[in-house]
Amino acid sequence: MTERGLLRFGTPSGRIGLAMFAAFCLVALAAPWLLPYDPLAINYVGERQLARLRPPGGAFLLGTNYYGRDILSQILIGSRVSIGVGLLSALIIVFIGTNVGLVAGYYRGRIDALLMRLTDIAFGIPFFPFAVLLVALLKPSIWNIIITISCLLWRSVARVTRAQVLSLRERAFVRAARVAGASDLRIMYVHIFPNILPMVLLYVAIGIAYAVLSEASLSFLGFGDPQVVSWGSMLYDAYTTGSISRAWWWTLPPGLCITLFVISVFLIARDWELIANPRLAT
Amino acid sequence: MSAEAGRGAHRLAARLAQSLLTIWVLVTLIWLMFRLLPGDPTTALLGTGQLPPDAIQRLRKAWALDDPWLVQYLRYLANLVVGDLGLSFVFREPVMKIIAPALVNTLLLMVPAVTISVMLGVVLGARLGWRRGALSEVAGNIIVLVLRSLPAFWIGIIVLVIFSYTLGWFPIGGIRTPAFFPETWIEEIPGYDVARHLVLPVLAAVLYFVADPLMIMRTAMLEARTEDFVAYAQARGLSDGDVMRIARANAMLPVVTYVGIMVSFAFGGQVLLEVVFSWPGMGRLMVNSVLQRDYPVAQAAFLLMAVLVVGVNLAVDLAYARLDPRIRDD
Amino acid sequence: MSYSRRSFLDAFAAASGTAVAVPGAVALFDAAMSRAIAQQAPTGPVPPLQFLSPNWPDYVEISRLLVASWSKLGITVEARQGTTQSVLGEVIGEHKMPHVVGVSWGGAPDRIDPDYFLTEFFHTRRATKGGLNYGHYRNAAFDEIADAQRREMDPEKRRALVWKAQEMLATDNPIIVFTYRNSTQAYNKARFAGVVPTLGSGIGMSYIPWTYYKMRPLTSRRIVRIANFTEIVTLNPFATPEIFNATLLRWMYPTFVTRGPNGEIEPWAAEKWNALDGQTVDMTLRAGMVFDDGRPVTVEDVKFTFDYMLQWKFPALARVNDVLDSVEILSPREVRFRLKQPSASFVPNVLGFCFVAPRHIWQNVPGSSGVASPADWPNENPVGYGGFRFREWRKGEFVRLETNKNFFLAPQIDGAIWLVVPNIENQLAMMESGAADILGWTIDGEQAKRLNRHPELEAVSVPSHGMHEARFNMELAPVSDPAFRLAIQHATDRKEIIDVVFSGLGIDALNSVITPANKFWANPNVPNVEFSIDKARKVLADAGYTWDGGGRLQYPRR
Repeated sequence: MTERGLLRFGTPSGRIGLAMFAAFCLVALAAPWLLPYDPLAINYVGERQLARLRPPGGAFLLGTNYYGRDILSQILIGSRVSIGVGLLSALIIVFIGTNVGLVAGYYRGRIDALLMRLTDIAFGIPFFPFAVLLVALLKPSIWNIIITISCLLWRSVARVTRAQVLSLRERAFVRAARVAGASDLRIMYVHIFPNILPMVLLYVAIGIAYAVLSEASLSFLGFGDPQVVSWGSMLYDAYTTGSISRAWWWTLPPGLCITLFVISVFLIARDWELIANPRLAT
Repeated sequence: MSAEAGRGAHRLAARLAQSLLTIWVLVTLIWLMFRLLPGDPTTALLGTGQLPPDAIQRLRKAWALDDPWLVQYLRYLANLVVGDLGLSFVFREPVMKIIAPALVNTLLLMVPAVTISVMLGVVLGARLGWRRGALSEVAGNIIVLVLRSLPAFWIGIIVLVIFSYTLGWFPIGGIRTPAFFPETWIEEIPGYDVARHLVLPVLAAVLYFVADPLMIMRTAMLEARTEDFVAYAQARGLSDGDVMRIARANAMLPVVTYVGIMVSFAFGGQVLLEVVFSWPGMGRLMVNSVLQRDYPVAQAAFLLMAVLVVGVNLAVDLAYARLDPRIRDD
Repeated sequence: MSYSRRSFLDAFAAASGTAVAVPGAVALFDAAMSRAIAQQAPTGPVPPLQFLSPNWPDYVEISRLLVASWSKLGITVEARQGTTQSVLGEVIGEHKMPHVVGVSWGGAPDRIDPDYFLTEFFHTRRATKGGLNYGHYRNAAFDEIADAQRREMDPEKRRALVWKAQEMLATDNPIIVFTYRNSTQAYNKARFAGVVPTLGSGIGMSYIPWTYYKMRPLTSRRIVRIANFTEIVTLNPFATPEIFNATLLRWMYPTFVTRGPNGEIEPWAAEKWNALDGQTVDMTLRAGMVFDDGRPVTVEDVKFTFDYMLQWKFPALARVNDVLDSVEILSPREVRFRLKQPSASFVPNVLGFCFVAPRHIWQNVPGSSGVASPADWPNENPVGYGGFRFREWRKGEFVRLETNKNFFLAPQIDGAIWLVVPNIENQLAMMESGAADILGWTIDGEQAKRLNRHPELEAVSVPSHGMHEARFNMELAPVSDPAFRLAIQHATDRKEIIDVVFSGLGIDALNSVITPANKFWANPNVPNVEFSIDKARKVLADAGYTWDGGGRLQYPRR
């Protein structure tokens, strides 16, 4: 097991990252109670004047979008989708990838070859065109976005996990466990897995980052769930109404949120990378 | 032939066979998914309302869309082996005629972008991983961090807004100026027009791609610093720059591996840049052909991607085995 | 079929990751339950209303507005979006419909004649798979009138029939028309003058390009650059592309008649025509037209083209096979068309759609070129006879045309380039930077306002006959009940839709499928349905509907 605790962050940047991440998650959880307006409500000013594309100020802290919707409310409620999709997809990615890597690296031989061919296939498929295909097949919805992201991005985790397991299985403690009669499953999950845990967690973090970016990109292309507000879909709305270069109050907040959230995840990942690979700290 | 070479040839043959198998599975998977999609190439024509219902039936028959799946699949495979990619349903022209220009446009964008970002990544990453604690390290880390965290389309839009909409230095997307009449001697240089259109997309692509090789290089450098050969070189009195270059040469291996992943990544992510820059490349072609259910074009495009990626990965694996004798490819 | 149950099953299957494997099982299960339920007349609470539309941004917004206002009747409204393909395939292809389906139709030239919207949308004959009467409106009396107006050659009498048809539709409410959205484009007025606002095409679209024939360059820039979303896929006028492609090809292969700026029929490649009786139409070809390779356009080419269409039965030109029996040459410039039955829409929709193909080229197609049908022949160097000649096509990038100064209405510009710019952001930026001179597709109010702020640009908004509508499933309760449909009509705030979604750039539909801008055919007396939730509830109450304690709408007790 590792010497340092996983939650004791040695670097200031890691602590900043953790703080940012926690702040985002808290806001996402509390969002329904923080909303100044209904994110989908069309707002009017005065008699029947649509509050369209208003700059920040007055009744709307971040201004309004093309259909008169309050941007702050959309950012708040969108955080749930963007962060939720990111977290869930990352967990699925790591779950699949780690298991594939563990099994492949441990058993070697034919199983390894089969699983690695599977991984090669996943690598051979370009992400966005395949995502478009999958969304066309499954219809645009938030669950299908998660499936789409998860079913390809586990590939890197699998490769890296397998490489680690390949070297770990030759170590003394594994040999000892085998001699002692431990079953394969036990060796894989009780002996080997804890040693790859730091790297697994690293890939959870990276997975979250890629999942959030992928969801934003898919929504930006117009393949997101039209019923749902996410940071990516806000950018899609801004883009398809030709407002990106004009309504900075509409385009900067979601872009900034995506970037800051992903930065926070990467900062955490860097610290975990140090734990997984102490040589980096010298 | 020595035993070693014999084993090597055997290994190569095995890897080739595995690659072919991978490609075949991919091809079948894509083919199957298309057949499962709702709608077919005639669906888009329904919306115009200009076709009477029986015309749709006739088109389906002409395009053999109603044959049993197994028949269609076997026919597809047979044609593939012979090199016949079929006719595009949408364009009614041979698939290669549709894909070739799009492929050229994509390579025109990707090859410079990947090359420059790998080169930049190696050089800058080495630097970043060598000098610890300097201000440049902190600044460099922050910049790289931000670049990794920006969605690709965001980078594209920012680049476009700054250099094209606002400053007007470069055209607003596209790959060339239609009916381009060179007026000055600079404009007479062949390829000038396309080069001008290429600058911003490549810039955006490099900004997007450079972060990962840079980080990998940096990590590899950090690890290399602790290696014996670095201490030995320093003990021999070599300059810091020279030692760094030695370390860099050794640290490049992981980046080489990464190029394989990067190619797959690059061809997958280019769709976003193509949309933002109106670039007529493979990404847009693939997305459009999926949306229009143009099976032959979409299948061929995916096949091409698969061959490219599997091929590059194979080359990288073989090069890696050559470069690092410690690795056994068993 | 109950869509709520179906969508629940679909959602469950998707969430449990078995979406791909399970649809067959879901369909079976669902069909079994449908059969069980369909036996009974509906009672109890009205189920959630399913509104399906493609995931186009304007329909996403419209559906949100409808959910808000229709809910006030005490029902739940579930708005669902599909991709364009899935909606077209399911709804038009398979006629699988939930309660309400919303789509929009563009202002294509052959929709100005009332036959299109009346017959294609509402005739019983079109209530089959692939037809546009996917709501399955079946009314024998309407069918009679629709058929009668088709055969009636006297315009006044035909108009009376068309008005009657509109009245019937307004009474039966198989459709709810939200608005006729204007066609709005912007152009660079410092560089070009003389744009012609045209019904359905605006000033920039390819459909009926008066602007491009009449615009004058004001500077040394004599080639107009048009920015558009879509690209063409073929240069072959016999092939089957969508409307933009088809109309652009007719810049090179002009039709015999065309539509004027206000929708009136005008001679074009034909000089005049005469409907002797319903089944015989004589046409005089315009003199002096010449193909791009120098050969004259003759009646032999005209006869050849129509015989070609009759022989090959091109899907895109099926209308010719439906109505034409034969063509004969009467004189060096006259042909006679013999029709299978009288057709009032022959002149606008057949002569307004067909063209002349050079016999000396097309008689060799397919010949030895290896394609199965002439529609598959690439036609890489189109030899036309129009005001615009083909110069260059780069797939996905642009089509370049140059003008033919020998055309009888010779354009004053030197050429036109249609640029493919798939996103609106770049299109607007290109207009503002001067890289593009005019837009080839509709923009909306805010974008028009933004462009108007630029000193050189002007946005022009023109009424169109295309519409945004929603069709009711006449076979599914509760929308199968005429009272319910009328209540929905009363509960729809069209003005809000036009203001919010289209920035006011649309005509409030008079509950008719023919826009008031189509002055000759629109029935001004069609009873409009006023937006009033109270009236809606009153209609429901009069029909026996009630509301329970929680305000939920209940079916009438039987």
